[in-house]
Amino acid sequence: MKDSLFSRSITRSKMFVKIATISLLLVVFVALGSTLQAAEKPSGRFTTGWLSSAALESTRCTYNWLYNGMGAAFTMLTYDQLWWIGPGPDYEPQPWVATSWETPDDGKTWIFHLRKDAKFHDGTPLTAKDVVFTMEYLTKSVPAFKWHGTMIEEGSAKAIDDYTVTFTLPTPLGGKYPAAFWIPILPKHIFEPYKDDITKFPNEKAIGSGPYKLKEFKSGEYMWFVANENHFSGAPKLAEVVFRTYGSADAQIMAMKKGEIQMFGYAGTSPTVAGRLESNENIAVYVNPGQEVHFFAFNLYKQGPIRDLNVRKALMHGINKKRISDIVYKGQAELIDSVVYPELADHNPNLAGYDYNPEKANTLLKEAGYVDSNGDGIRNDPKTGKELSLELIFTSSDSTLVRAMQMVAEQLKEVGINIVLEGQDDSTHSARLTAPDKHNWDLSPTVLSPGPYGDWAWEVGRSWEGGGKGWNYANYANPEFDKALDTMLGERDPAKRKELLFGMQQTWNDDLPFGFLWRPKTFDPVRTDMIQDYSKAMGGLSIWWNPWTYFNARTK
Amino acid sequence: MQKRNLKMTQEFFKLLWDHRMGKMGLIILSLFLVITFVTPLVKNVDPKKSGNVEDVLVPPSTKFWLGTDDLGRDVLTQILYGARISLAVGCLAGLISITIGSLFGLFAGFYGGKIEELLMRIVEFFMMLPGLPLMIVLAAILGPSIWNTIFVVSLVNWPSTARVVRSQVLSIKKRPFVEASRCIGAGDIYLIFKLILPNVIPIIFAQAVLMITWSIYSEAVLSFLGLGDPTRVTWGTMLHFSFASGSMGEAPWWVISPIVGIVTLILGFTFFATAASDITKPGYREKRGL
Amino acid sequence: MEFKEFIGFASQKVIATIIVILAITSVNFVMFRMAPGDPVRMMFKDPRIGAEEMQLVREKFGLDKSMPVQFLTYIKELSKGNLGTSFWQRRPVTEVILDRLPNTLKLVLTALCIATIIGTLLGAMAGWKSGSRFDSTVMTLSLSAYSVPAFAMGMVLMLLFAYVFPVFPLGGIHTPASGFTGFALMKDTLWHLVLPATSLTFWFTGEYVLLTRNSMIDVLDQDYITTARVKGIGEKQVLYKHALRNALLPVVTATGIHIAFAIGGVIEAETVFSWPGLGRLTYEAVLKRDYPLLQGIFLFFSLSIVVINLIVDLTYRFIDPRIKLGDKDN
Repeated sequence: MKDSLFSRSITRSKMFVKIATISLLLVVFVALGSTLQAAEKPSGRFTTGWLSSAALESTRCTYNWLYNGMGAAFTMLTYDQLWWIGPGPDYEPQPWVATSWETPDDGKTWIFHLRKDAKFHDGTPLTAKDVVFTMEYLTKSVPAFKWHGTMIEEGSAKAIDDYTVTFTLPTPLGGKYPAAFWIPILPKHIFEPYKDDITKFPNEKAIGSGPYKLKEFKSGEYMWFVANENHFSGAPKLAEVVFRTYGSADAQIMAMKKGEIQMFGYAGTSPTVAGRLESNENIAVYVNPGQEVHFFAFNLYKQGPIRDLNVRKALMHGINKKRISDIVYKGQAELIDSVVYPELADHNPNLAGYDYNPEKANTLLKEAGYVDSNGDGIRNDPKTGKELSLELIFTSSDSTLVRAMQMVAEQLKEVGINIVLEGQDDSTHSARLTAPDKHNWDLSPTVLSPGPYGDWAWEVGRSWEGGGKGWNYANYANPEFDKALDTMLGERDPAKRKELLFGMQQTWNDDLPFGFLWRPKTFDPVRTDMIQDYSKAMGGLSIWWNPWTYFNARTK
Repeated sequence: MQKRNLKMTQEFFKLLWDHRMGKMGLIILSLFLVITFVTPLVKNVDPKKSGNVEDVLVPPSTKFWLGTDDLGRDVLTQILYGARISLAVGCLAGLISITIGSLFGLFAGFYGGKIEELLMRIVEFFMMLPGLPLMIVLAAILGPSIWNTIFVVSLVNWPSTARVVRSQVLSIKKRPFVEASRCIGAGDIYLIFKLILPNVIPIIFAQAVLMITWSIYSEAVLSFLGLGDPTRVTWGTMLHFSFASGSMGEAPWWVISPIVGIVTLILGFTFFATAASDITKPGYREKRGL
Repeated sequence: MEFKEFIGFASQKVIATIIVILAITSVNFVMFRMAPGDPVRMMFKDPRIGAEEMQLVREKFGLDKSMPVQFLTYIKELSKGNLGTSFWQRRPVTEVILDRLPNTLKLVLTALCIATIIGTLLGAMAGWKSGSRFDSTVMTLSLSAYSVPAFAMGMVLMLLFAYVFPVFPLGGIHTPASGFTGFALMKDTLWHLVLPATSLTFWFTGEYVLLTRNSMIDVLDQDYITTARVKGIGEKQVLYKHALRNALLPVVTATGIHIAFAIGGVIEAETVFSWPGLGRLTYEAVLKRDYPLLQGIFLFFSLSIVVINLIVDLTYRFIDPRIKLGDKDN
């Protein structure tokens, strides 16, 4: 008896020692953290959190400077453009550096009148020569800035006087807000010495004319901007803007909950993350129609079942888009049937589309001759007897996409199509996708973000002979479509444009080179207790390349 | 001869069982073996099949013992199936590494001279390549598939075995019984595989376990970084998705379960190996008073 | 050993090393370019950019020339000390690497220092008291620490100490836009360093304990220890003067190897804590197929491994009186 009591008390005291040591260590750790933590941050500052995948590595004008998430936001704040896209639902272009513009000969010549009070951060006035310089510089020395189909040739940009610029284009540009003129105006006196290779200039000070000046930049970590009080639109309401990067979605979420950031970067965030933040009373989640259009590209080059229109139709009928949207996108993805957003006037409302209809899918496949000859649940090719097996390639880095594709494979199995999933990294996938003549894939999910002025998105359907090689993943070849596309690109009469666009959408619906899937909504959690007048969507869809938030928001 | 081997094996396991760590190691490894074979019979559910909308990110409950993930799938099923893959990848890659390494070590140590120089240069070359970055690059280049993972992991891990085996072979080579056999005129292959190899087995065994644990760990890291096979359920991919989806804070069960799995499996092997090496040390039985 | 012999030996090794480095460089060069995927295409995922424009960019990068020509150009530049320009960042590769290197070093060296001290002390004590309660406790703890992947430990630490008890930051190396300089900056960096360094320290410590303990046990078995004891030398003296010194030799070798490999291998901790180091850089460069940067990083890693190995090897042979010059067994 005595022994067991004794041994029990020893065990208990050993346990106690263990617990005491662990608690002591924890306390020391927490204390260490608190002592090292620094003081509070100043007010008047608006901090945006970015995922490191969108982070900017340097202020240099690299070849994809404008495409990368943080890069687009950075150029928006430090440089000015001629004009900006306005609020929905019409998205009329708003004057910025250009006070007015006209095109007297229907899209071939464009004349921009500039304001007289725009200045660069170092005091130099912004004049027409800077605009001309930027346009020529970017299109000549940085090959990637040539917009396909709208080449601004050397000499076609002219400064008529200090505040008027004309551009003479080889082919007319339709539309109100052509992409050719979405350029940040660079200061000629700073960039001219580097006119042979823009990327050689480190551009550390990032001197532009924009409403914010770059104060400090740490590659891959953060960017620190201060207000440009002398900006022609008036001093910005925010004293400082900070972009900071996080390595994971979790860190971003925790940062927002702590109040470290007030907004997520322009890609917004996923429905899961948004859901986690909604319950917090200081955070409002703004849900807006998204920009991304997800669709399948079918490899029409490959000699196989995928070439059969009936197989493609059956495939589309066999996908339960709603269920995928419900589970993978938490019900927050709009189902679409065209590359034009449903709320735009140019959207064709009469498209038949491809609803979830397994019986129809089964009928179509049976009529096409694909029956299950060996009872294993998968249909067989009538000519070769082999399994009806299609290879689906996709980028494995996007987990939402992986989930969605797994569900697609599940669903198509039910109608007797065997989908072989092949996840690849971005590079490999791009290489295979853009060379359907060299690689035997059958279908692949792709994304386009046309925006309200998305004429350029139609280029994915231009035939290879017509100049579309390299971007027409499906190898869709329809000369009539090419003609309609060219006409539409130069058409300035809105009614005629609409008619052409309706026809083009119908063509794609009937020929099915691309199977349209969904358009995920964007989720923007915002700390409404710390900032007000947040205006990312401005009455329409949430566009990632707009500056409205930073122009309108204020701290509380 | 057979009987003797059987008796030796029996004794080995008995000693292992009596060893504190050995006992733990045996229990853990047997548990995993059971999981590997029993799971498909008992839980014949496809772990990749998506669940219901209502079941997304549910905490552990009576219906879902370990909760669910962001697609509404049962975490327990995923852990069990993931165990099989982690174990399989670990063992396969480990075995490949140990085979290549041992062969290199055996031949280099035995032949010496120019052959040894050449073989060891190759080993050194591979040792100079930075392990983890090389794995990452190769995995990214070759593409995310489970076979590529196995290939990449075994490619990076074998050099250390080669070195260790070679050292051992060098010292065994000098022993009298080897010299004697050589004098009689025994052939090289006989000497290597029938005489030297059995004496190197303990070292190889220890290295094998090391290779296996290292392979399990490497697969977890590669999958966590997103370079594993995203269409398969392994513990590493579970960690990858839980980290990348931003649900880590909301669904800790989804994160903790695979971590516990990985740690337990590696510990099982390590305990087993530590105990085994203790037991096979000369003088162990005397110390224990047997 | 004789100094002249040592010099001869050392120069032999150095030459062999250079050859290996050249071999590695060539293999890297070919390996990266054989990968499917086009770095130019990776930069422009936009139908507005046509094939001719991309060809122009390819020419700028020298990617339009044949592989042997590219290789020769690379070697020529390399001999001048020019590692090339990164495709993605358009900065000299040397600059990119030097930007990130201090961050990785801060992390790795901190973790290694702490781990070495704690690990060797604990391991030596456990080995000295081999078989005791203390020994088995230490062994179990170290094995457990060693079995937990660093990124897993990192995730747990982040959950606990940056979220549940929010006393540490959620990652990164600096507090953005703080305006800190001097001492305040140092304190800030230290604050960010604690969690990632701790996750690595656990793992390193486990390894060091095991290594030192086993080494100590081996040493204690040796004849000269028995001799010393028989001679009547006190236990303390035996421990410090004879046992510890010799037990630490393999640890020294291990440390050297660790530094070299750790420089490239802490990518997991870097990912979890968004630490801007070389590991993350490698990962990003691979995804973007940034060949010059990848080649530069791998060259740097291999060089570090090789050079450190060389130093360790030479030091070891220099200080260990038992090693003879011609002896191949080590």
